[in-house]
Amino acid sequence: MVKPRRRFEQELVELEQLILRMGAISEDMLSRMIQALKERNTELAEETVRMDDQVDALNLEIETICIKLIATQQPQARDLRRIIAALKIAGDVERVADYAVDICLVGRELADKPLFKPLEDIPKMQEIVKRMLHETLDAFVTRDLDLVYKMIADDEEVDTLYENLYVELKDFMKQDPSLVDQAVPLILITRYLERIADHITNIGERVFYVETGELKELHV
Amino acid sequence: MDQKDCYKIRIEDLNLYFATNHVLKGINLDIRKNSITALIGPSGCGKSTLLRCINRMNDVIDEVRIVGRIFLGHEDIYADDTDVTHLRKRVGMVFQRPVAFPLSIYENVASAPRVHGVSHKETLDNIVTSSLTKVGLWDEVADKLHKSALNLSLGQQQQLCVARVIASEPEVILLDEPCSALDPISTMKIEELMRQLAENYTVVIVTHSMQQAARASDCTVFMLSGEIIESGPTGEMFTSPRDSRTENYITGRFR
Repeated sequence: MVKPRRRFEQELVELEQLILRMGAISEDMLSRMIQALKERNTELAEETVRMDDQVDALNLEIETICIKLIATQQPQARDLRRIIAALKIAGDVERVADYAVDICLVGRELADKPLFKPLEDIPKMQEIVKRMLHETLDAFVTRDLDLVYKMIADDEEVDTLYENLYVELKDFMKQDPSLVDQAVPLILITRYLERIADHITNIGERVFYVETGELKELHV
Repeated sequence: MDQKDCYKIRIEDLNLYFATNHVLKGINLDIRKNSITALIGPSGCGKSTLLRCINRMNDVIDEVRIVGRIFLGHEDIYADDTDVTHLRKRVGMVFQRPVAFPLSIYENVASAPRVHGVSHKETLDNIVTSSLTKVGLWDEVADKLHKSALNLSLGQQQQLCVARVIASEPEVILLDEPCSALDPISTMKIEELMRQLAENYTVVIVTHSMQQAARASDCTVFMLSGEIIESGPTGEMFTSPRDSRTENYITGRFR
């Protein structure tokens, strides 16, 4: 029996596998980034920065495939949603990796002297963000929207941590202006982590779109 | 693989005249082995004529004069000593409307190998079974092999025509508008069938449907007024054509 569009279906699956590979590298970058920060390991930070090249290359590859599939396969309905989602998701994963790089670069400013306070909330934010990425990519594969809702709830936690840290670090600077050199990079890092979480919610929204056909903002 | 060996068909400086009409003008084209090449272009551009040159079907038309060479592998098919019957076994053809013979399904497929000298019943049975299986028709017709092929739907008849072609164990399969008489589901089945065939054969298709060329082919050749304007990988042709005439044609702005 000839199964119509078998090849196209295979190309869609391959496309989604590239997204997963890209997501896995970004997830890995998030782990190394925080380890580099905690251990003040500039070598590991450099290594993490270099990993971004792989993510960028995958992003271009995915974009090229999406354009080709739209131009040649006249995708409709779910097929069309899968391709559009892949295109958008790749863009968001690429941004996640870019922020991991930014954190590594800012982290260099903190590497040469002891921190005025131990790193606690930032690793906590990183853990949540990494879990969010993992859950969303899982949802992408399993089509389980409950994972998307869970990730959205996690995003709220990240937002709260960010707001609290922002106020706290600002207060430190007010009390002791000599802390500015450390507090500013720390504020930037929390801001980047908060942005990463936002990009991950975008990914979740595309997974939601593929499954429901509805485009909407999921976070409150 | 050697670059030269990637290609199954090489067309060199081919010109075709119909009486005083210069129909194909200086065609040079390499067609990749085990892939699907689509010839597209507006009506009258010469795409079917070019396709028919590849198994010398134009020879049967009076007043046609062909200059140039077409290599199938390393053989020039327009050489004086070419056995045209043998050539057409190596280069099979499927037409626009399914041409099922008014015979049984079995005989439709068995006729070609029989013409080429196969007479052993068991061998013929095997050829019929494997050809019908390869085109995905076996399950649907296994219990009515000796019924008339004309009772099949048009889509099934077209699959049968492909089965008949592959029963001769060709190297190249030419398809001239194979889906224009078919409904969308049958069309998709034929396209998927072409994809499977391309694993073992070199497939060349003429199609009026740009969408079909885009979906189903690996390489696309755009023709206009008897000339090749542009050829290349299908993905590139449909995203970034190099020639503005190709762009106008595939975006529907052709005048």
